[in-house]
This record gives sequence, C-alpha cells and structure tokens, in this order.
Amino acid sequence: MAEEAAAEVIWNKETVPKVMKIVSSTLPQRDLITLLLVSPSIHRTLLSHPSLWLVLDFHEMSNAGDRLVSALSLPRYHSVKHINLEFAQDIEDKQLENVKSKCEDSLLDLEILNLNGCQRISDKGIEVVTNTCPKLKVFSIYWNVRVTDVGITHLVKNCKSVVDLNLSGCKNITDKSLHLVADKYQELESLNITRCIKITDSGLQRILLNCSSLQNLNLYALSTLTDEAYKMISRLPHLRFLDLCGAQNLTDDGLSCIAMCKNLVSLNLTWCVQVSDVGVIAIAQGCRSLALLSLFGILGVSDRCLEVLSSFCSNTLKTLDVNGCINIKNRNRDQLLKLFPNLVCFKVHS
Amino acid sequence: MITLQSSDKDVFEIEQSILIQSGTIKNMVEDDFTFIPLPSVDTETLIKIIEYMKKHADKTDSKEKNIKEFDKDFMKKTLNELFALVFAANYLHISSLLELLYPSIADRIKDKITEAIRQIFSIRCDFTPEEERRIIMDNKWAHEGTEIEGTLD
Repeated sequence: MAEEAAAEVIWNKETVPKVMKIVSSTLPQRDLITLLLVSPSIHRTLLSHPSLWLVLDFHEMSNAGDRLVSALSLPRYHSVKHINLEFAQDIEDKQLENVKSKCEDSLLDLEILNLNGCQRISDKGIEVVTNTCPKLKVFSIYWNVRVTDVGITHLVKNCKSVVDLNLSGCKNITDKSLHLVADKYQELESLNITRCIKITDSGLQRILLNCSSLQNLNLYALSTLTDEAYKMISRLPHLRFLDLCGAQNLTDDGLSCIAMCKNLVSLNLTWCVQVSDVGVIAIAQGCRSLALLSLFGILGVSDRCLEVLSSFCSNTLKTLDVNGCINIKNRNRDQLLKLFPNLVCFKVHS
Repeated sequence: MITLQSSDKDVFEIEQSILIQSGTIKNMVEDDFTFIPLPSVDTETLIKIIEYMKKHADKTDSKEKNIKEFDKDFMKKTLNELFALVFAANYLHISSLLELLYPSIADRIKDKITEAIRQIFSIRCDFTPEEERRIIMDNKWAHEGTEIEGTLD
C-alpha cells in the first residue's frame, strides 16, 4: 500500500505536471488557465515557465478592459509580449486610461498589439496605450474610423520600432500619416492601408521612397492611386506580397515596373481593368517565384499571357484566379492544370 | 547499426537511417556513438518509439495514407502509455511524434472544467480551500460568461 501511495505522489507531483508543461505550449489560453486550477503541483510547474505567459488573448470577449486590468495585475504577465483585443467589447479610451494608470509597468515589453475592430477607441486611446509600450513592433487597428492622423502622430512618437502596421479600413487616415510612417519607420516590413480612401499618390510615394524593407504591401480598394505611385513599387527589392485589388488606374507601364520586384510571391490584380497581356507577361518574366496570381475580372488578358506565365512560373504557381477573364478562352480546370500542374486553388476573389 | 539500451537494460539494434528522426540520437551518432543508453525510457515505451520511427522512416507518396492510418491506431493508447511516450519523444526530440501526441492529450483538456480534468488524469487536488478560492478569483477574467471552474461543491 505504501508503494501505491508513493506512486500516486510521483504521479501527482511530477509526472502529470511535467506532461502538462510539455503540452501547454499548444493549449489555448482558456484551457491553460483551467490547468492552473487543477492542482498545486501543476500550478507551480506552469508558473515556473515564463514562456507560457507571454500572450493575453481577449478576442471577442466582453468586458475586455476590466479583464485586461485584472490579468495585468498578476505577476506572471509582467513581461507580456502580445495582447489580442480583436473585436473585444467594452474596450474604449477610458479603459485604456485605466490600464495605463493601474498597470503601466506591465506593458514595457509589449511587442504585438491587436486592436482590430475596436471601433470605439479614438486618437486619445492610441496616445494613452502607445505611451505605455515603447517596444511595440506590430500594431493593428483594422476597421476603426475614429483614428486620424493625430493618433498616428502619437504612435510614431511613442513607439520607435514598429515593423508591421495594419490600418485597413481606417478611412480617416490621410497622406500625413503615411509621411510620418515613412519618415519614422524606415525598417517597416508590412503595411496594410486597405480602404484608406483619403490616401493619394503622394502618401504612397513617400512610403515607397523610404521603406525599402517592405515585404508585404496591401493597397486593396484604393482606386484613386495611379501609375505615378505604382511605378515606384519597383524600389522594393524584398517585396513578396502585393494586393492591388481594385487598382483601376494601374496600366501595363505601372505593372512592368512592379515586375522588377523579383521576389514577388503573391500578386492580386483583381479588377485591375487596364492591365493587358503586356503587363502580365512582364510579371511572368520578372517574378519567377510567383505562387499566387489573380487576374479576376480583367478583360484585356488572353491565352497568350497564360502561355508565357506557364513558361516561367509553372513550377511555383499554386493559386490562379482567372474567373471573369472572358478573353482567355482555355481556362477550365483541366486546361489550367495542363499549363500549371501544381495548381491547387482556382479562386482568390469572391 | 546503432544499439539502444532501455532503462530495463534491454538492447535493440536499429539502422542509423531510421533513428536519425530523433534529434537527440542524431547528435550522438554525429559524435560517433554507436551504443546509446536511454536511462529514462523503459523497454515497453522504447519498443513503441522504435515501431513509430520504423514506420515513418520511409516516407513516400504512396505510403502517406498508410502512415496516417498507422498514426491513428498508434494513438489509441492508455493515458499512462501516452504520458510515457510524451516524455520519451520530448527527451529524444522526435518532433513529428510530439506533434501527434499533443492533440491526443490536449483534446482531453480542451473546454473541460477543472474537476473533469482531475478525473480524467486521476489527479488529486491538494489545494486548501483558501488557496483554491484565491486562484479562482485571480483568474476569473479568463473565462467568458458564467462558467465557473470546478469547485469542491
């Protein structure tokens, strides 16, 4: 019986906590915290591994502001690196002020802040929160129409190390913000300005002039931009992902310049209605690692460009969307597979 | 050929090409070891590990489906056996096996309340009521809605 009791002790105090520790890096937050409550040994073991406590995830949760303050008051989160408040509720300027006044020191190591869908946060909230996290590298505030150039001014003043910026849907951002970003974030790697409809060529040009480290650029639904800006995309030697959906002013001239980005892997030309075979052929010749291409809705392209594309990119192309390209006669699934044997996906635009 | 010795002192001779799926063994082989004692892996577990590595050593397209079936069956083990495999795969750095094992254990934890987890894993909870109350309070923020973590009631 003593042997059984001893075995039980080992099971409880060593075996189970060790396994839980190994497995916990794959558990979602909710389950990880449930584990803390299971036994003192598991509690102790998990808390002794700081790497488990670098992320706080409140996406879609209610009372997110209060939850954030509660969590940050616990010592295990004092070095938190990533906070996710995507579509969280009850997170507004005043909750962010609360966070700053109660847990200022806990955000000094924060690198990733996701405020996507937090529509009630304004420039004031941005000022407050960026003031607490000087090491921020990734900032995302998708679909927030209250943020203006004032908010971005605070961001660039407080956070010097941003490399990934998502302002998709922030309709009140103007060229002024882009000038600030271009001047302060010359190491920027990812920029998403989808639907930032106040932006003109001037704003984008400054970015393209200064931010030569850009790898990902999303210009979805920015229909007033022209070749004057698009041509300068050629200045981005590291560009891998480019979304030009809706670029109705993009011509073959602009696209031929973009073809100089030889590391391009993903190119979305949905609704780029002025593009013809000439531009696509230039891309084929220039971008030999292309894995995703959408020509959705383009009437100026024909079978010719697919033939050329095939001769350069048939090894790498996995996704090709030619729906609505009525001047490409041979574009059923089998015909496309003959040209591009590695295709797995035939739809980008829905 | 490499010789592996379990904690029960049983020895197994296996081809090097199969064993290099273990990062740990690969490093030792590169340092010219041909006899590798594994004092933390018992015979029963080592036999299973070798079975896994043999099946996964020769990955060709035609065998993909075969391997998936094998993996599915391989995971049908008791909790004790799975735990022993987690320790062994962790120590031996066999990442593909670990990736297979994680979900089989995580699924037993997912969305469960505390008391259910204690039962599934035969864990005795020796928190004092005050300790337990405090930890529940500290972590209330983590759970949405009215789900309350397992109490002793």
